[in-house]
Amino acid sequence: MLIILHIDMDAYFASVEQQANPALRGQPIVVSGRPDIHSVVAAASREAKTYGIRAGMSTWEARKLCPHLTFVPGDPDKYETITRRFLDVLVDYTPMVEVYSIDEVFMDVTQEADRHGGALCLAREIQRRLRATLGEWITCSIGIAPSKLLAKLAVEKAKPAGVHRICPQDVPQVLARTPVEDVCGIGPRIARRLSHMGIWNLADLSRYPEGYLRARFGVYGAVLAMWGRGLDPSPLIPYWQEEELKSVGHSHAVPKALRDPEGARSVLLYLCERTGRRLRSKGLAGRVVHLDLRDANMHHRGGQRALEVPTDDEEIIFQTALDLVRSHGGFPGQTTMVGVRVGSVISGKEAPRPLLPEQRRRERLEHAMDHIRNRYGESALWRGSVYACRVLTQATGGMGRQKEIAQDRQADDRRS
Amino acid sequence: MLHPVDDPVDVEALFPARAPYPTPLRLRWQGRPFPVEDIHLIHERWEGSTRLLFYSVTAGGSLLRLRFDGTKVRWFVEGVQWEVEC
Repeated sequence: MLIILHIDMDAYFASVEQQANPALRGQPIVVSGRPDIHSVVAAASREAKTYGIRAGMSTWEARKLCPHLTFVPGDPDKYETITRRFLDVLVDYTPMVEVYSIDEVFMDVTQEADRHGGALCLAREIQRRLRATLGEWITCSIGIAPSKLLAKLAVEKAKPAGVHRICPQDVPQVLARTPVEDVCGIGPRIARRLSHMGIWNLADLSRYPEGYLRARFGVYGAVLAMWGRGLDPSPLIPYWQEEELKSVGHSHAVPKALRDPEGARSVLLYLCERTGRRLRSKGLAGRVVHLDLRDANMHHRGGQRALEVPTDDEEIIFQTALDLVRSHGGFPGQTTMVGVRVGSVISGKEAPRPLLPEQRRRERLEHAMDHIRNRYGESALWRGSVYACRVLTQATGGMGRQKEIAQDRQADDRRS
Repeated sequence: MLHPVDDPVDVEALFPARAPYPTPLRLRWQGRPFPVEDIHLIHERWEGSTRLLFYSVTAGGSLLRLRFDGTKVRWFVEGVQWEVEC
C-alpha cells in the first residue's frame, strides 16, 4: 500500500512575510498586489482568516471585513527562495517529491516511512526540520494517505500546522463524508450536475456505474469513477521527471496610469518582450500566440493565432498579438489586464533560422540584449516605448512557476 | 512598514563552511554599532549574474533589511523600521 504525504504550507506568503517582519506577527495581514491595481488577496494570515478573509477575495472586500487589515505587497523572490529551501529539506528523505505548486508538495514515502518510525513520525520530523530551517512562523500541515487524492483531503483536516492520517481501513468512512465539491478538480458546475444525479459525496460516486459516468461526462467520467473509489488517476511525478514546459507567457494587471489603449499597447509589448526573452533563455520556440485582455467590466476578450514557423522573436510575438487585438476590435477603453502566451513550444534548435536580413539583424540585436541582461539584470536595458512599464513587477510569471522550480531543482541535482 | 534607505554599511559576518549563506553578527551604521540580535529570514534574488542576499534582521531593537552583494562583497542597509515589537 502506498504512503503519500501531502505537505501544504500554512497561509504561505503571509507567514513568510510575518517571519520576515516581527511587527506583522499576530496581526491580520494579507499579501496582495499594489494598491493602485485592481488586486486580489494572494494569501491571508491566520489572524486575517478569522475575519472571513480568504485568498482570491478582492482587496476592497477584505478591507470591508477588517478595516485595520495590513496590506503587504507580494515579494515573489522571498517565496521562491523559501520553496527552494524546503525542497532541499524534503529531498533529503526521498527523491520521490512532486512540486505541485509553490507551497504544496507530494512525497511518496512508501519505502522510507519505516526507517523513520512510521509515516506519522516522519511527518512530525519533517515539520520540525522545516521550522528549524525556515523559521518559527513558517509552518506546514501534512496529510498522509494511500493516494494523492486522499492525502489532499487529509491535509485539510490537519490545518493549521498539524498532521492528519487516513488509514486504508478508514477510506470508506472518509468517502462517505466527503462532499464531491471538496475534491480538487470538481468545480461548482460539475458538483451541481452530480447533485442532479443524486451524487452528493464520494461514496455516492463510487456506487454509480462507471459506464453511466462515462456516458454523461466522457473521459472525465472515468476520472470521477476513480475519485469515487478514493484513487487518484494521476501518478506522483517526481521533480526529476517534470515534463517540459508546454507554453511560456506572462500576464499582468494594468495600473490605472496605463489603462488607456496606448498604455495597454506598451504593456503588451513589454509582456511580449519578456515572453520572447524567457523562450530564448530556455532554448525554446513556440508556434501559437494566445492573447487575453480584460476590460473595466471584468469581461475577457482574446484569441489565438498559429504562426507558420515557431519563433522566439518578441517582435513577431508582439505583431501577432497586436493583429489579434485589432481583429477583436482594438484595446478596450480601459484595459485592466493584459496576458500573452506562446504555446506549442519546441526546442529552439528545431526551429528554422530567420532568412531575411532584417530578421537576422533583429535576432542578433535580441541576443546582444540578452547578454547584457544576463550580466547586469533585467532592468539594465529598456525600450523607450515600454519605459512606462517599469512600474510593473518583474515577476510576471506569477506564483505558478512550480515547473521551473522543479527544473531548477533537477539542475541543482546534476551540479551536485 | 520598512522605511527605504540605501546606505553602505560595515558588517562583521561569519561565512560558515557548510551553510548556504553568510551570517551577519554585528554592523556599524551611521557611526553606531548594532549587534545583530536575530535573523528572521534570508532570501535571494539574481540580478543578471549577481546573486543578492537579503536579510531581515533585528539589530539594536530595530528591524533592518540588509542586502549583501556577493560579487562586490559589500553590505547595504535597504530598509529600516525603528523599535520592533515582537
